[in-house]
Amino acid sequence: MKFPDLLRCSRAVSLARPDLPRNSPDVYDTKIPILQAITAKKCQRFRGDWGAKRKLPILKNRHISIQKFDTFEHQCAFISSDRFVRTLKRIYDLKLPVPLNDYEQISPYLLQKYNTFSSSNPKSRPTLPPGILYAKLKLLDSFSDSEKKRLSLVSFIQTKKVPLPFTYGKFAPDSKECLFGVSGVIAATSLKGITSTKNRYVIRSLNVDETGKTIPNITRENRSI
Amino acid sequence: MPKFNANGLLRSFAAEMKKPWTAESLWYETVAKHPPTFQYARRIVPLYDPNKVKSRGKRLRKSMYQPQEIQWPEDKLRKRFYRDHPWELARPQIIAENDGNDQQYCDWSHMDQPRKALSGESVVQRTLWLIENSNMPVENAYDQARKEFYHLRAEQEIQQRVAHDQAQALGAVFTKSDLELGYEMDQNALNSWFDNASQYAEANRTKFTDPSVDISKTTQ
Repeated sequence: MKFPDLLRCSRAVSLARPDLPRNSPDVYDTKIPILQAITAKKCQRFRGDWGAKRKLPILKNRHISIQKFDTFEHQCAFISSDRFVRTLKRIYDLKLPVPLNDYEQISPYLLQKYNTFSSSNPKSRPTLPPGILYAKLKLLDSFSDSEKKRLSLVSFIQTKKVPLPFTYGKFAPDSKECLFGVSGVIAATSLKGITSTKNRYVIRSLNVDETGKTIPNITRENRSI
Repeated sequence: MPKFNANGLLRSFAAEMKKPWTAESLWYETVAKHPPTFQYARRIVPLYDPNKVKSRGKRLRKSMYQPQEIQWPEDKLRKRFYRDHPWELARPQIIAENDGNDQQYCDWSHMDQPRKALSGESVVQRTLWLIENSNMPVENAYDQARKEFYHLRAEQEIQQRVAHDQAQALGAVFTKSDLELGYEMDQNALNSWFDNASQYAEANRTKFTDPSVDISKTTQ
């Protein structure tokens, strides 16, 4: 890396610099965030190292916003931004619906990411090998009707009045269908086979293995019939 | 008398070097052999754009020696992105550096990076990559990067919801969310207010009761 790029590619420079108009209200009284919320690890906060030019005192706040990295008084001007971070978290807690046109294309890969560093580059995505069990649970009581229809198109397993020896999660005794924890077998390895609704499996009954494991009897449901 | 005297500093460092517990600085020998001959504070004038400095008199003289603002093409893209999506600023970021080589770990031919969280900076860098490699104009590159960003954000949210539902179905018990805690706190406040109001009304019942008028006396 070249020397001039050290500053250009640093994280502090990549912060959004506020462009406030002259008659703008104070930064404290805005209704939308203007400055970037900054956080630090616990060990960093203990040392006062928030990534700014100077060390900051030990704060109780977990999120701050830096107004100026350096002032004429040789101080780092910062304010608290816990308010906006909390507000955003509450907005996510409302669980508003997310409309997405190509949900079917994405949903087979929702379970692929096992760690946060896995890449979603299409070239490096592995193809689904046959014989591996995948679980895509359908929660009957927590979705609306439109969500049920959308999920039923994508789900691999459909249960019909099969009694279970145990219950899961949001199991309701008066519901017609019950949840199933053990999943089915995917027979297709290409994208077309997975996303199509023809490859739907129906669990007819349950058997017990010699070792005591529960094995479902799955038959393929062909929609053309 | 200047505020910082280079030769005075050199002499103080020389005195400091005589102490047995002080190690010699790497620069000391070179500077001692070739000491500075004049003050650097006002001799070196930075290259400045005359269009930016439009002052006269003393102001021009003062602004000539002050550092100028550094600008890069990313700044315009950042301002535009965060003006359009202000709530992206509410996602906290860590700006403390680990090794300063963040750009080397990123390949901006695609938006999602393994070692970097998805943020507005991803849109900016992806836009620059598209401008350089695909020869796209700024508007089209920004639009494509923005749409990829929306796609990845929606994907992230769906993944989180699916993971939450799976964990709940398999027996996980989550703590209450901020909204539920807020409802509980509101209800507790209302309950305590109701209790206090009841006690106050009970204690001051006679105050709030209207006196009864004896009608029989008026007719007589």
